[in-house]
This record gives sequence, structure tokens and C-alpha cells, in this order.
Amino acid sequence: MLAGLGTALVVILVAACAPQSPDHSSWTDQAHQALEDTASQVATVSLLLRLEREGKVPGKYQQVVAQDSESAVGATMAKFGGEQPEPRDDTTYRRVTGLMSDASDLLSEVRIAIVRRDAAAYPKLLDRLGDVENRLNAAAEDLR
Amino acid sequence: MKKYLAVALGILTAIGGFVDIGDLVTNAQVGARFGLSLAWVVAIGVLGICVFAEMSGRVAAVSGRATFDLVRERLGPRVGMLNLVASMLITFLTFVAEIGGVALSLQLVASVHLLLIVPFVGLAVWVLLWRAKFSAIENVLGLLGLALVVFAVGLWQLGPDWGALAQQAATADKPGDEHWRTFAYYAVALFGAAMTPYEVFFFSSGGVEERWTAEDISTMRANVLVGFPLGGLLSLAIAGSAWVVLGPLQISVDSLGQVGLPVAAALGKVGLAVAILGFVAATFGAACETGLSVGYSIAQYFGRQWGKYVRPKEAVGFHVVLVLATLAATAFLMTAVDPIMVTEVSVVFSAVALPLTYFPILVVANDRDYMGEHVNGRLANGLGSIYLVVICVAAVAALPLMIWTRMGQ
Repeated sequence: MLAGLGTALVVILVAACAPQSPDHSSWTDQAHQALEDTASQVATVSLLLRLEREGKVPGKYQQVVAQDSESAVGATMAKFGGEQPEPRDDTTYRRVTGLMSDASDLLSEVRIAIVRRDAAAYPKLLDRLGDVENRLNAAAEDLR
Repeated sequence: MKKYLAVALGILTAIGGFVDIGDLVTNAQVGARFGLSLAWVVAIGVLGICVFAEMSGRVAAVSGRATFDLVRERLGPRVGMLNLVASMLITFLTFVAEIGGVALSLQLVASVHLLLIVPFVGLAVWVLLWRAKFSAIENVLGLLGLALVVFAVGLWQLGPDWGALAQQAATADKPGDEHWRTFAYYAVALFGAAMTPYEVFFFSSGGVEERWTAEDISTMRANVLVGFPLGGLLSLAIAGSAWVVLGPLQISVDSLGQVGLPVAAALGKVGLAVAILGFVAATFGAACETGLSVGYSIAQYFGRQWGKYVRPKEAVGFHVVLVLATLAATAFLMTAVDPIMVTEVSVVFSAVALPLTYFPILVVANDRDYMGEHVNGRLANGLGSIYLVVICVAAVAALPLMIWTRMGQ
């Protein structure tokens, strides 16, 4: 009885430590969701910079929104990175994680510029945000 | 004249106090994704909370007894205890979400880490619960919550296609790329956000605290039947402005900062400042109400002295519960749990827990021994019975939908 319980406990612990291994369809759904979530955060920061250009958002508020978006993308990357892809999904995995990494780096750059009140950098950052958002949306569309 | 002023004040505080962190987040999330296609759920939820609050307020006014006093008597100590534990878990979760909501709101102006703000908010909530007068908590924070009217002004300023919005609301026209299961999940979440159980615990306990009698029923009805629906319109304004500004950009809402962006787009910095004032007042008021609801319900169940009109040394158990609940909620948030996530979970579990307190109140409101001539009439009974079915359906569907859609993904 005790041995059985012990075995069950070990199995549960090992299963909890191992990466999640969804099937192809489920993994693809999660990749699609991760891309959409990341695109949403990029679009949020893009809207924020446009509103800043019109003088509609105070600096501290900008910082919080930009920081929240950066953290949210980090959390999405960590969650998706814990999902084990099947070998046939390796190419998609590289594309999705690469895009999310690009988005994360860009959001960090935007946050740094906002904290420094580096308004001269905003137009270029806005262009790059638009480009990353388009790539994220295109990749998400490909996974439908 | 005094009575009219009391009614006006009651209505205004009911409007300002209607929206809490659950309404703010859920309505913005739903608005950004589904526009006003779930407006019918807000309407059903608002009518439901009117029916529930009117019944519990009438029971409090006629019998002089609050919800958990009656729950224990009608259901017996054991089932009553199960009911208390389940209801208090949900109310506590909502308390955590509201304290987190205050901290998130203050973070928008302070721009410091959330964990530095949470302990101060916990302390401020406890001090208010301990020292402030009941009327001050209800009226001041309720009136300041009216600042959220800025969402309605912002929506008007954005100049949306009103015809398209009205058609979307009237036909429940879901965006084509959304699944029905996600639509159903958010319908339940919106229903839970509109019909949060703590609102009724607080409302009926407040009635007992303020010594309502049968003569106060008409004032209570005016507050509920006018104030809550107007509060529901605020919810729709939050959803509408999110749809107009965030919807076209495919932005899904998962932070309080995103909730305020439509107001900034419409009205700039001044509008945004008013919205943040509304966020702080609405969440602070709701934090006080949920904290008090935890203390009220536990003290009522155990038959202890309770209330803000009683000196603390005469209601020691009640105040110990308030201290412990505030400490526990603050400690919960200090684990760095995301307050928005807690909010999302709390509105769904609110839907799950609703029948636990709704059913006993419906039974008591139908009992002539308690209610005398103020027993439920045909309309109250008809609506009460229909809502019992609606509430049970939402309660049964909530968890499966939450798991099936991975919380609305």
C-alpha cells in the first residue's frame, strides 16, 4: 500500500518536472495563442507611443504600461518555451520563438526610451513596432 | 426634502459603487474582443443583482437580520457552515483582487513596483475599516467612484458609429473569428462580475447596521432599481470605449493600464487622471465592502456582535476577522500573484458561488412568518424563480467553460 503510494508520488513529481509534451495540434494552438498575445502587447505599446506623440498620456503611466507589456511578453515566452514541440514542429518553433524574442527585445528598447523620455527615438521605434506586429500577425495567420 | 436627498445620495453612491475591479477588467476585456455583443449579459446581470439586492434588503428591513444569520437558521449549522466557507473563500478572493486593484491603480501614478504599494494599501484599508464611519466609507468612496462616468464621456467623444454599436448589442453579433465557447465563457464571467455575492452581503448587512425598517423599503428600492442599472450603463461604456479604441488594434486586455487607454485617446491627460481617480475610488470602496463582508458574514454565522456602529471592544471577534482577512489578503498579494489573474478567477468563481446565498434569501423572502405583508409578490417571485434557474445554469457552466477555454483564450 505504502509502496504504491510512494510510486504514485514519484510518478507525479517526475511528471511535474518534465516539460509539457502536447500533441501537434495542441502545440500549434498554443503557438498561435502565444503569437497573438505577443502581437497584442506590441500593439498596446504602439498605441501608447502614438498617444504620447499627441501628448495624451503622462510619463509615469507610459512607464507602467510599457513595463507591463514587456513583462507580459516575457511571461508568454517562458510559458510557451516550456512546451515540448514534436520534431516536425522544429521549424515553426524557431520561427515563433525568434519572433517573440524580437518583440521582447524591442519592447525593452521602447521601455528604456520611455523611462529616459527619449522622444526623438519614438518615430523609429513606432516603425519597428509596426513591422514586428505585422510579422507576428502573419505568423499567427499561417498557424490557423 | 431630507428623504429626497437621502434617495439621491443613495442612488449616486449605488452608481459610483457599482463598478469594482472585476467590472473594470471584465468589461474592458469583453469590450475589446466582443464589442457590445455581450451587452445582454450585463442587462441580465444588472436585473439579477437588482432582484437579489431588493429581496435581501427587504428581508433585512423587515426581519432586522442579515444574510448569514438567516442562512444558518434556514440551512442548519452544518450545511450553513459549508455555505459560509464556500462563500467566504470567494469573497476573500474578491477582497484580494480589490486590494490588488487599488495597488494597480496607484501604480499608474506612482510608477513604483507593485509589491512596494501593496502593504500600504492593506494598511490603509484596515485603518479605514477600523476607524472610518460606515456612512463615510459608503458615501465618500461611492461618490468618488462616479469619476468613472469619464468612460461614458470618452465614448461619446470618440464618436463611434452608434447605429453599429446598437445593432451589435441588439443582435448579440459576435465577431466572426471568435469561438462560441469563448463567447459563453465571457458571458459567464460578465454575469459573475455583475452579480458578485459580496455586494448583497454588504448591502443587507448595511441595512441592518443602519436599522432599516419597513418604512425604508421604498428608499432602498429606489437606490437599487435606479442606481444599479445606471452603474450597469457605466460597465457598458467601459466595454464600448474598449471596442472602439482597442478592438481594431486586436489588443486583448490584461493590465489595468490598458483599461485606461481609450479614455486617454478620447480625452487626453485630464480624462485619464479622472479615470485613475475613479479606479482608486471604485477599488478602494469595493475593498472596504468585501473586507467588511468577510467580517459581517463570519460574525453573523457565529452569532457574535458585529458592525461599524458597535465599538470595537464590544465586537472583538468581528474586528479580529477584519485584521486577519486584511493581513491574509496582503500576504497573498505579496507572493507576487498577478491581481488581474486573481480578478479573472474571482469573477468566474462568483458565478459558481451565487446559488449558495441566493437560494436561502429567496426562500426567506417567500416566508410569511418572517416577512408578513412584505413577503414576495408575484413579480418578485416570478423574477426570483427565473433567476434561480439562470444562476444555477451559470454556476454549473462556469468551471467547465473556464477549463475548456483555458480562461477565455
